Amino acid sequence: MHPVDWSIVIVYLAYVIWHGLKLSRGTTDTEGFFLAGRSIPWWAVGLSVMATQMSAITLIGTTGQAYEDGLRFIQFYFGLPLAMIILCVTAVPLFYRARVFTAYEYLEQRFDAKTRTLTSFFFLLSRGLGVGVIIAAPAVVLSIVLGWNELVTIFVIGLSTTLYTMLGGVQSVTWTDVKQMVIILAGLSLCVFVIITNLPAGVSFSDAMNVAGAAGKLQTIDFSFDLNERYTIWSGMIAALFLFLSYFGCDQSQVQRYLTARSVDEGRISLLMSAFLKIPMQFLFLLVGILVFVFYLFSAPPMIFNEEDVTRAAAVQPIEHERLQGEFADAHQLRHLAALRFIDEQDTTERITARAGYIAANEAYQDKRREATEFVRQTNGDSSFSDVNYVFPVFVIENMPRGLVGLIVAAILAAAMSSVAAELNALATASTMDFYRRHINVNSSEKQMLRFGRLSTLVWGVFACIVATFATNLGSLIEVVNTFGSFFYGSLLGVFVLAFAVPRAKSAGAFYGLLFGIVSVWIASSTTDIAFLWFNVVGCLVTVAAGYLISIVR
Amino acid sequence: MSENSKDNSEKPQSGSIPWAYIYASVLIFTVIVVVLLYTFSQFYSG
Repeated sequence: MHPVDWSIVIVYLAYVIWHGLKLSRGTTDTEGFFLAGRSIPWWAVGLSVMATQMSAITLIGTTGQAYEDGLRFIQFYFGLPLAMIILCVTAVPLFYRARVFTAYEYLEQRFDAKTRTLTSFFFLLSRGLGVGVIIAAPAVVLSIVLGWNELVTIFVIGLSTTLYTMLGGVQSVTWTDVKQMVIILAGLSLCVFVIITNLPAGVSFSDAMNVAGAAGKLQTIDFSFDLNERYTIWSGMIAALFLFLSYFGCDQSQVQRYLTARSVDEGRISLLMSAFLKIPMQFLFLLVGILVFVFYLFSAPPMIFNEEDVTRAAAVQPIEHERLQGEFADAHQLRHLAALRFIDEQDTTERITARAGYIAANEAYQDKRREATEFVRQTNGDSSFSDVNYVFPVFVIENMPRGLVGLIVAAILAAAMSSVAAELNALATASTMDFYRRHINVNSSEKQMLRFGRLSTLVWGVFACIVATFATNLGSLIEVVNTFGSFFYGSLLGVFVLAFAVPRAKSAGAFYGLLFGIVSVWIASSTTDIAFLWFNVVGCLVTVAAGYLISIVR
Repeated sequence: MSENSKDNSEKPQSGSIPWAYIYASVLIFTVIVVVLLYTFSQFYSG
């Protein structure tokens, strides 16, 4: 990176830490540390909710996904607005008026301490491991693309975030989230602007969309009802609805955001802000990926965006690599010419022929890219290899102007840090309120709880960094952590459905219903090929059904 | 619990905001966005 870009990244890191530390001065009690004294305005809570949800891997993964697969991913968010409305009606007023610190504390008021402890324990386990993955994923990408030391990147992201979260609590987390969200949106908007203004002479935005559309990149809605297909309108409207209900309604990292709002009404508005903005915002991210696709129609793309892996494969099979590289370059050249012909052709009949020629050239190009990916997979013995997460960072480093590169790298770091901070804060809150104050030191003073809250933030931060160092080497660990999270989410939602909507539900029903739900998801994942989003539906329905039946029987 | 939070808890919580209309507007907005996205994709993909 150029010194100008380095300066931007360093200034960003220094500012975030300084600002976080500045906000730590007013934090003197537990309600201030964990809930900011319920004093945060709705717009800041709303931005914090969005920043927490968007990790770095969401940012770079979404743009990469659009490059590879087009706009289809946007269907995943179609269930979010309805989920937010349901939560505004149910969870927000119930949690707020119960004066709880954690979502699981509410379960003790409704059921018993056992249910609270079990749900909080599962949260700590899945999120404690998950936050390591949130740090690891961008650290791996940045270290390969920028040549940064992987360990240093992990500890810079992990420990700087831990520092301001530990000292400032939720106050620091929320207000740094706001700034980080501004950096992310500014970075990506500028990126869109620069790509559009740098399209080749004679290629308008409309032409760019035409070539992307002809290549199938703008297909947004898939109406097929296929449970094995990950992104369809049905998985977005139904299965993702359950996921969002669980994530925003039962996961402490999100519940804690809106518990900091000044009132129930402001908590609701903060969630509705996401409901309004999330789909347009995701469209912006996906549009970046689409524009990167268009950009690489007119200038030579790398055959594989992860240079480290392709270099390793080339060292083992240099002749095969050279053959693929040559054929890939030819395929790109043919696609380039076909795209220009399609854009230039004005005559209707000729345009149809030119379009068909471009589609065929693009298919041939994609075949070569798939062949190259398979070559890397087989040569390196890594069947899960994919370079999707490298597309956007490589594009930025190689093609964006000075200054914007630094801003985008800062945006990637901001996305990682905003998620990590909220997770650490939530982990510390659950550790302190659901375990320390509830089981270890029941008569603990404000000072002791505050000290424990800060200490547990530090411990979780260090733990996350350690998990991250392992996660970078063990690809399967990331999968295990994500799969474990999906086992748990739907079932946890089922417990809250029992609490909110089933008056006859009893504590034994909630406790054993949760366990039944988790086991059912495990069985579904081992015996069927349904897409992971549907696990949330299975877990929730089984937990509610089992919990209801057990409540009636006992 | 701090004084600040006590004050907040005593604020009027609901009643003045027409939530039903706001929820309906969120859903209508979402439907419009989805239809626009679909139209956009059909326009350029056709």
